[in-house]
Amino acid sequence: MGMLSRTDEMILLAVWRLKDNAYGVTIAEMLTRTSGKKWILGAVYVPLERLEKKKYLSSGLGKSSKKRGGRSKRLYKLTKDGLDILIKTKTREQSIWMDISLSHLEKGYDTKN
Amino acid sequence: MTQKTEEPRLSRFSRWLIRRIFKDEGEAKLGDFMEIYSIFAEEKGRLQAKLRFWWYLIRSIPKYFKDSLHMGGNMFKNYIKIAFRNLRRNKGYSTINITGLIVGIVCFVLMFLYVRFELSFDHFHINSDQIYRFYKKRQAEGTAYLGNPYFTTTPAPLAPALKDEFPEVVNATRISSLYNTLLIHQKYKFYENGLWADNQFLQIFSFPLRQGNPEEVLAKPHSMVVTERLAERFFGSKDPTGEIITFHYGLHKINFQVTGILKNIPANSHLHFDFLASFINLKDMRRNGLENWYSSSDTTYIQLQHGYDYKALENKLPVFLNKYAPERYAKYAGFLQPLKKIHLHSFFNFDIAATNDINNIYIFTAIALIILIIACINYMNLATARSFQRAKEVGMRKVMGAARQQIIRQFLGEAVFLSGLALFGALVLVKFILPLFNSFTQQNLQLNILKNPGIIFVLFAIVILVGHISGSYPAVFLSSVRPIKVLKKEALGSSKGAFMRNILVIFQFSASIILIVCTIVVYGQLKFIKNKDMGFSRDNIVTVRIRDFVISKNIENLKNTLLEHPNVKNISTSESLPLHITNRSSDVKAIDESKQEVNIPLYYSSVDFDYLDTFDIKLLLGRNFAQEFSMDKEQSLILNETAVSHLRWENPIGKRIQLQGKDFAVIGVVKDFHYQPMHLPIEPMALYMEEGFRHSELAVRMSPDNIPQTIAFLKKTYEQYQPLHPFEFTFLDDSFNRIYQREQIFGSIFRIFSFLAIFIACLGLYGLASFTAERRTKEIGIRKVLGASISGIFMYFSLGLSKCVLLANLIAWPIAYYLMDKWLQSFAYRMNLNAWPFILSGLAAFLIALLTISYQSVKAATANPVDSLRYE
Repeated sequence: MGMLSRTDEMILLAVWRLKDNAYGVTIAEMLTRTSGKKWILGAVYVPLERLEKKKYLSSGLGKSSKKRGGRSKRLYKLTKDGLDILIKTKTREQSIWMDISLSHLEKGYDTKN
Repeated sequence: MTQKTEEPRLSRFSRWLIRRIFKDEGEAKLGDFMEIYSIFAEEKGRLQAKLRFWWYLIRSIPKYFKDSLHMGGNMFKNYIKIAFRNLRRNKGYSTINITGLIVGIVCFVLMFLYVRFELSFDHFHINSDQIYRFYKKRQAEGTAYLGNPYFTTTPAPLAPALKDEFPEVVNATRISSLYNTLLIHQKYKFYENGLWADNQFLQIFSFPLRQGNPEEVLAKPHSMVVTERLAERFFGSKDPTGEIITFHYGLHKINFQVTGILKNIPANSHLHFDFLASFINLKDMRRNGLENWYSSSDTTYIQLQHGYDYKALENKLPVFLNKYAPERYAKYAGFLQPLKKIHLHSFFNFDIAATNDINNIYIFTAIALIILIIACINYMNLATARSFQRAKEVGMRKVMGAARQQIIRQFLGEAVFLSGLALFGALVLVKFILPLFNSFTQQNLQLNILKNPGIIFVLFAIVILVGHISGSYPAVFLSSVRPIKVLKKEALGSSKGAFMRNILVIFQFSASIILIVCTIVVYGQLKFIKNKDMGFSRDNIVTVRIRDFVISKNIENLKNTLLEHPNVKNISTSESLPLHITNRSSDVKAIDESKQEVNIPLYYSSVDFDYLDTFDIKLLLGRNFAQEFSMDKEQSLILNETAVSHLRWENPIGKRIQLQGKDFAVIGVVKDFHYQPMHLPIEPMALYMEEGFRHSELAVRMSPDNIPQTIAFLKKTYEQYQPLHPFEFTFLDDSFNRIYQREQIFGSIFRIFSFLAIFIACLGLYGLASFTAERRTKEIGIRKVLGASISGIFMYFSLGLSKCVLLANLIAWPIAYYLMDKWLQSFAYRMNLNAWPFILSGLAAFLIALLTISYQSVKAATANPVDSLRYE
């Protein structure tokens, strides 16, 4: 299992956050909210499908509503692999940044250390 | 916003788009998009939500593609790289391919712009689906006028009567022509095209008014509505409302007050005018005012209820017409023509609109498509011919695990890529050519992508289409390569490819030959018409239209003054020039040999004593009109040969004929002359004289020397009579040529396109020949070593081509014969369609083809065998 790209990471996280309500619209919304960048539907489908192919996500058809013109949602769920890779990513992230704080970063190399 | 849970209504197109592009399974994605739409709809109104949604959708598409490309991105990059490398490595072939495709696409884009414009006529009217034009058909056998029984002219009271009688007729209007009218405002005088139009006109047709209320501007007599263009001409930047414009109509001089300003009339309107004058004014100027059912000079339009089937109303017309004008309309049947069909589907006498023929659209489309296909074939042929170069690559890809589908996609993609490049070149070229094309076809087409984003879709479609047509065969052919064979350097199954290539070349040349035959025949017919003895002379004759009463009154004086000039030979005034005698009466009575009264339709024109001399019309029997016979001015008449033969008179002189209720004696018979276009056979015709008849045509025969000076004299003398209208003259020969303008344009279109077709075909042929020469250098070298002569090798080279061109001829000839025979049928007098155009164009195609390959074959044949055999 390799490393996740930033997009994949954000999407997996969004799915995790949304629990039982992760589908196209909510995922795009969540991404917009957490990343501070506008995400549109067209941008989430391909990574979603790619992640599903890699078995990090699984999906199934869910409920429909009048708002959706009677079309059902495709609900995404993290698989075991997906959760594992998120944990791994988080761990790696932490270890990469472990000894660096923001003020540290702004000041530059601390020669005394 | 009234119903929040309203089901989101996406258009079918956007639903289709979402499904296609996002490869939706189970419609979950469609659902997502609908949800987004619902969110928008809750926030803002319907329309705004729609706009926002579209923007959202459009942004989504490239995002999606970018991401999915990324998936196969590396392979895609490789394809592009290989495509570029191939383009660069084979500069010659690439140039041939792209040039051909550019020319093909230019033709196609021009065709598209033209056809789109022609199909858009009258679509801008808001009610265009509810508006119909009334037309009628003469019922009785043999009463067709100029070979055609259909008319759009209607009596003035028809429009109001239709509206009163039928509740389904929402509104009705009538117009009458005021073309070429001299408008006067103070010192400004201009000829303008206008219409008499009643107050309903601007309510039915949505020509937008810049100033004025469409329901009022033409309500009162003496009102005039002008276009911005006309207002600018007469009044500059001043507000024209309330200004007075005057014009003369017959003997009446009428003042009009400007009550409204129209935006300029769009070019795609079947009605073209720059001013509208109150129809009510005609009331005092016509006999029996506007209630006369027995005179037809107007055009009637009606607006039906929305969704009402006009055929149902058509069925009620016979009863209606019988009720209002029983005598008159016993001879006629009435019909309705939908507004949108007027421009391309009209076939009427006295049509107020200058219309086009739908067949021209078909022909033009077909030719443009053929040129495009010829260009695509070049691509196919060159791609498959060079397949051995690419075969190794394909073999390699297959060994590495490429599926056939992938390779097909690669080659299709390459073709699409190339046609995209060609499209770019074509667009640049179109920008330059368009003005030329416009002046040539007398159109005003524009390629404005910013104004018309719809064009982008079409251009996109062209690229995909051209790419797929030209890439299809090479893709299938190349993807079928067996890796083992290629990598072992075994020959490809090239005989199959060669066979297909020959078929394609034959197609290209058949199409080219057909176009050349058409060109030759159209020009042949035009030459035939020009050289045919018309029965009258049109050399050195200048004609002047007499529009003034002042001139008409003094016409004898004017004639005498003009005749004093040594270069003026003859002068004649008449109702119609011998080029267009179109007055026709079906109310003619004559007594035949067996004392039976016969009725024949007769064309007629009022003339003067000098008509026959001026136009050099031959008299066969009897005598010309003469001053010394005082009765000639009232009661004499000269017939043409056809009239005599139709009446079956052995000795026509002295026989009597009743025309328009007056009795005439036949004093002479003239040789038949073509008083109508060559499309129509010569029919019975009579020339007569009538005291005090206002002639509208003045014809002057001059001696051929110093014509400019003679015309200056004409002008000076004419203006001494102080006419209202400026002096204008036309050479009779020019008027004659103008009749066949349509055929002239037809001919030049064929000329240009046949040139393009053969050019592209030869381009491809050149590519093929150089390829063959390249591949066969070794073979030729061996042949030469074994004693083949240069001419022998040249012959050997040309043999295959000769066979192709010969076959192409065999295919092209019958098709061309069928087409041209049909075209010639539209002329009553036509050239003999003999074998010459066919042999000539076959020969021309063959020679051009031979010339094309000769460079390559001579080069191959004269090469030193040492060079070609040294390679291994």
